Amino acid sequence: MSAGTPDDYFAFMGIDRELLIDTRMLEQRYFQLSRDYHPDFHTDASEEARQTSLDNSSMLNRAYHTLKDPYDRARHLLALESPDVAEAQRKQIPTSLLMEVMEIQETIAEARQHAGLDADPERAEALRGIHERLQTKLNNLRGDLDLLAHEWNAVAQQSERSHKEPILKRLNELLDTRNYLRTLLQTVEAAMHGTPAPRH
Amino acid sequence: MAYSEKVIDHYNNPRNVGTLDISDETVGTGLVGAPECGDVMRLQLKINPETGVIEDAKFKTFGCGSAIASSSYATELIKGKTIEDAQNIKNTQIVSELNLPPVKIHCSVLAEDAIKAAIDDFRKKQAQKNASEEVSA
Repeated sequence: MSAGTPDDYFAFMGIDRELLIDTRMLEQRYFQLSRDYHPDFHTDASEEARQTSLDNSSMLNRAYHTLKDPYDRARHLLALESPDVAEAQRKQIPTSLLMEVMEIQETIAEARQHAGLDADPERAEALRGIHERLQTKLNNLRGDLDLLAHEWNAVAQQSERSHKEPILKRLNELLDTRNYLRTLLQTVEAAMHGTPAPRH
Repeated sequence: MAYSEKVIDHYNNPRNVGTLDISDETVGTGLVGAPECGDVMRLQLKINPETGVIEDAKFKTFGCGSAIASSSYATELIKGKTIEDAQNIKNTQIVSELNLPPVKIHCSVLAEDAIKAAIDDFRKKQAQKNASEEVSA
């Protein structure tokens, strides 16, 4: 995939650029196209045609797996609709979110420092509490995503950008929040199990 | 991924980790994040309001080695500088000092953003202080 314009998986799969999609239909398209592109059916074709079918097969797998997951689908839609929005918004992450992330990270780090002096049920309890809170927030995001998906589908076919931009912005914020929550969840789980904090 | 020796050094011995009093009028706090990787970085500067010189810098970063090294190096870089000079620091300086690979350049951008955010916060605090002094004068 080139850095500038990502492949359009919606177009590739022949479905509308929407967030609420018929996943059964997506699956049917996947099976249909899998047969069409399968390299085994192109063994007699020219070198070029075989390469094309191979390329299409691998793109098909990426497209299907991206569109199947509601969050990956949203991320892909955002990349297509508004490639600059993520960059522009990087500096506008809500301070409240950053403060919360910082606070939770500090609590976890503190609990970790004292992990050696085990038998500290209070800290273990605090970690469990954080874990539960994060899990609840992550679960709630799914409902928020569904609401945004409904809003998006209502305007998806319009050409008017002013109706789309606010939804795309909120979508971006939701995906950012999810990334943070997932990082925190991994960090707190590592702390609970006494394994090293996840690094990347 | 192989980190440069300098990144590893800053990661293992981060300089100036800590916090400054957030309510201090001469302390500017910058809180920035990279949502793609879930990183958060807090940079605090204690600035002399008379001279505009950065007298102290502390940071706290939760993120990858490059993000920690970038903010650690940034605190070393700006201590003793005036806020005007600190504002002109570009992320590319951090990239070349730490030999950051292309995939980690955003960590240096984060550090640059944090410096700017901390200076902005200091300026806002000073403006508020001056405004309230004028009112009471």
